[in-house]
Amino acid sequence: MSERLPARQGEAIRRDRRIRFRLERRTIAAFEGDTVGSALAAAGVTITGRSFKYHRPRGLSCMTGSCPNCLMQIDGIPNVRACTEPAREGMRVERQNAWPSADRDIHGWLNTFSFMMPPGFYYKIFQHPHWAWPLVEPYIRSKAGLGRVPQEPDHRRRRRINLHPDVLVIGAGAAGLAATAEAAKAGASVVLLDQGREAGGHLLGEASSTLRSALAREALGSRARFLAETAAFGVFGGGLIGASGPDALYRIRAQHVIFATGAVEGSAVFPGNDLPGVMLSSAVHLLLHRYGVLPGRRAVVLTGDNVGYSTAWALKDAGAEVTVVDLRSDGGWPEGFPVFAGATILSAHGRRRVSAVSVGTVGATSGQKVSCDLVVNACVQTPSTNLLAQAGARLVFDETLQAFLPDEMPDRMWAVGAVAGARSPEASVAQGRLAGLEAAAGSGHPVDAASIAALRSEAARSGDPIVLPPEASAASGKQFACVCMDVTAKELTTAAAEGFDSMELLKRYTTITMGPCQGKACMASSQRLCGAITGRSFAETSPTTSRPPWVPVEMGTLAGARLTPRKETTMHDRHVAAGAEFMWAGDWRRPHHYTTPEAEVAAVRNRVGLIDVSTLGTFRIKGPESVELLERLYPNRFSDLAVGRVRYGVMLNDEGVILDDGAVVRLADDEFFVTVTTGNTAALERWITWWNADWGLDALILNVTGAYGAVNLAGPRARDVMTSLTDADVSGSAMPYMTATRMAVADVPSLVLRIGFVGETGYEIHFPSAYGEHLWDAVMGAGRSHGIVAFGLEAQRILRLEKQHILVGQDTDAESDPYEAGLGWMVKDDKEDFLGLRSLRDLKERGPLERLVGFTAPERWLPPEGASVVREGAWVGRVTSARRSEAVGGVVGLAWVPAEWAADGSTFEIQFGGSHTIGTVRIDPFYDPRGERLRS
Amino acid sequence: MSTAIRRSPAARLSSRRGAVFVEEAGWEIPASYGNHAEERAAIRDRVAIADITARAKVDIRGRIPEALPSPADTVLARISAEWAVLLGAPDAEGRLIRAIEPVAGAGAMVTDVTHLFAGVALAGPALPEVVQRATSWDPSTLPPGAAAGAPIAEVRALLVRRELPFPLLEVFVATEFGRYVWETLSGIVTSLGGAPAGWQALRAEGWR
Repeated sequence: MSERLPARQGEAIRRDRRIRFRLERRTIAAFEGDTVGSALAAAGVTITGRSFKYHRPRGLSCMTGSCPNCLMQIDGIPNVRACTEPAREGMRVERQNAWPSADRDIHGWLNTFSFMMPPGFYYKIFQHPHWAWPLVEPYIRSKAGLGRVPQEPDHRRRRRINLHPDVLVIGAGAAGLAATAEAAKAGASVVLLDQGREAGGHLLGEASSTLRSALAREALGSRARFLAETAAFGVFGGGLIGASGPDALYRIRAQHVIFATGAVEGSAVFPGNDLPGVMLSSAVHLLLHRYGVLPGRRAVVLTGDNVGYSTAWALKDAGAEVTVVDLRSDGGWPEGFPVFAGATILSAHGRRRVSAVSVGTVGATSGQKVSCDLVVNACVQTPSTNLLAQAGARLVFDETLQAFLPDEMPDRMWAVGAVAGARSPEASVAQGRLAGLEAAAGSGHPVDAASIAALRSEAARSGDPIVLPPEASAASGKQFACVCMDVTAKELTTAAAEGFDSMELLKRYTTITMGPCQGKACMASSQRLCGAITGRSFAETSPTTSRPPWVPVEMGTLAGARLTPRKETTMHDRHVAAGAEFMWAGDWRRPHHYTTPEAEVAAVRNRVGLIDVSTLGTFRIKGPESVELLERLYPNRFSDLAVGRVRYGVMLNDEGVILDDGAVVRLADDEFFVTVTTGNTAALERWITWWNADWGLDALILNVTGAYGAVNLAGPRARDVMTSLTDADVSGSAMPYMTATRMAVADVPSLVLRIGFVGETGYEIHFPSAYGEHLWDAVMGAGRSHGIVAFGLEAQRILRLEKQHILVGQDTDAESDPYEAGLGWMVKDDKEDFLGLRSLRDLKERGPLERLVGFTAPERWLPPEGASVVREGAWVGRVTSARRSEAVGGVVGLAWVPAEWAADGSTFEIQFGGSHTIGTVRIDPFYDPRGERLRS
Repeated sequence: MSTAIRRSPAARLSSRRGAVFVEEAGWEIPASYGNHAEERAAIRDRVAIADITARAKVDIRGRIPEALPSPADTVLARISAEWAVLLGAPDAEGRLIRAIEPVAGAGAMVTDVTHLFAGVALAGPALPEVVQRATSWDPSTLPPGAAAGAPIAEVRALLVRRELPFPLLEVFVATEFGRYVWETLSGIVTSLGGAPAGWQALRAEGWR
């Protein structure tokens, strides 16, 4: 059983600082520096959770966050890797996928009935009768799981940080530290990432910290930036590296990238290889040297090279009784232990923890039983090549190391250390230094060419051939190829027999490598098994495609800091002060209403109202061929528009479909001021600029939307208010409808347009936006004695609807042409050319199929926008806008109807949901049909 | 009727941070935030944010000469061969237009864009950290004295890197984004231990 050892040099824990946390109902004592996993091991907790499908007991295995065995719910967050999660005072830890507890899980019976759950069982059974599946599926899902999704919202603030170093080094092991040190010393800006809390990688598990300390001092004492607990999770287009750190998402675009991602240990495949107490050697080293925990008193170490003996020695030094099972039969192993030579572990035995192993020759079905409480796998190393593969590196099989290694790296990228096949710290350091120097040189920093040459020979790969354990054991019992998804060797064999005979097919059919480890723990063993089953060698069995994320990333981290760009006018604070209720209009925040829309409508119709229309898109178009540009953009004519006059225009695309509408003001012979719809501004800027370039016209376009604030002063008393704000003559005769005049309004230089969207005498005042608050205050002050009110978007919508003024995008769609929308009067098809002319000629010849018409309806039901217009129960049109109108005394709206219905007095049925009403067509505006108020 | 005064879209947000405003050339300018020494210290030692919307701004685009002279006390931000922006003191736009129009040539359109852009200055040694959190654009691609168009806080911006004894970036965004960008960047600055600074502190450190 595991126990805490006396203090030792180099350990990560502070024994003078005790902390406590809760594991379900139990209090666990730990030291500062412990992980949850190490503290549980020290406390003798063997079972860290239950497996995904069969609810088998699982225990600590890797201590590096590479396997799924210790995923726990910590402080409400599911799937936290307990082996690397720092222990904190008062934290709440729960083991997952078990009831009532992981120690005594009632669902353990599933393990006994696993024969009912072969690969793809959910495709095969419960399909007939069909009604059974919906009943069975929720039950299956409730039993297979990875913790509970928290119900509380996550309010943690995440940062999104963009970095652009000369050199990015991924992995702070020996190779990564050496690369960082050299690149930084040469003057390059370096960012070093590591998912651990401390730099050192595999060196952290070594008894001696001399090399690690020296390298860390050299690298981290330089100008390099070290991001601890930050894991690169993917390589994306353009060399973008995504990394996840404590409450931060890093987006890194480096000139050069050095991958020092190391290697991940794997387990041999034999019956019982998932039992608690079966560990990887990395876990044993970390528990011993970093956390002072002896993970077992009687250990069996399975190895295929002398490296495994360092684990055996470490255990022996800590007081364990150690037996070595060496896959090699040709001798050469160190003295000091009982050794089973040329043997392997055939099976492990035990219920809640390993209690013995059977040892025998490869292929045997039974062997000698050896009692133990710890089995150490020190025989499979898989280079962590996933990020390399994502970056585009070519991986080839290395017969000596029995692993896929990078052969060709993309430009400006290096692989160093264990991921590149280095088998000793010395080789890793040499590879790292070499890459660091080359990357620095590539960034334009001077380096010593002799140093590069010297390092090349040191960096070469070397070492004895690796001897791997058999792909699977001949002994009977469940032997797991993939512990994440509970996939056994037998299940892979069955799947292959069904025709799923490649890694990609096996992955999709059995879910192998698709679990939380994403293939870290199981890829190599799965490849070898797949190869053995299908008669191919390991070298001929490629790994599955590597995709991000390589390490788990919280959704909140990916979402990052919440940035929602919003547009606000310079009068925004005045609207807030006036009690406006705001709404989104595209990116804009606009007042929906201040009091009630009905009261605001009444004020505009009877007195005077003021609305902030700064959101209108505005363009300045200037140049000798600016007229020609407008002539080609619009179906209207602008060559005859006098300076100081305003014309309403509709812009079309080349199919004759309405894109936008607005006012065009001629400021000078060669200069125009153009307004467009709020939501279309950016698109129209691109549209106009693109066509101007295509036609090669001498005209310049500038989007001046933000430069101008704008308000619309409207109502029968608008002129009275204007008169008190300006010395200019704003009378109907001096400034008639559809004219524009530059004048000072409240001492602010302004461009005033006599136009009116709401159907009353109106002045649209455009002014330098920084005067927004001043001008708003001045107009409201001047209008006070006239009963002025501020009105919002909803009142404006009612007012414009009473005038049947359309809203492009709401009342029109991607098929609306000006003829059918009732705007045919503005099409000058005798012009030589304009966008949409050819299509409009065809449409005119064909005649309209439908028409946009005004309609009235009884007060009792307001049809929603989108309600159907029906004829004999069939859909023939739709309502685009509808509001209740006090002025008209009922519902008014706009609707698309068959063209033959477009006559005053025609009626049609409107339906939505279970409601319906009768609409009566009205061709002219409902309010002030002759436009006398507008023009007055 | 009150005197016509020009005001930044972020003026009210500055007020909440304790801004003391003064009137200068028809603009309401945040002169300080109550502690001149602290503001200067932020510029020198950490990072500061200042509202510089009141700067005069003149847009020059089209066929413009390669060597465009900049009048005294102005900054010429050359973004591309066909686009430059001239930055000056508050209310200098008229003077700048008169100075630049004759030299810009007939193929250029010169426009007063003072009100088109809200402006923010980010100053201090921690400026790179602010930029790292606000944009994926690489600030090292912009040498001192140069200008570029790039996104800031997911909004299109015009960025001008000034040649001063301390790192300073002038950020200009469409006026309608002025409040949002101020709010976002000042949040980042504050989280990094920085503070808002007024024009007095900026000018005392050599900014014009």
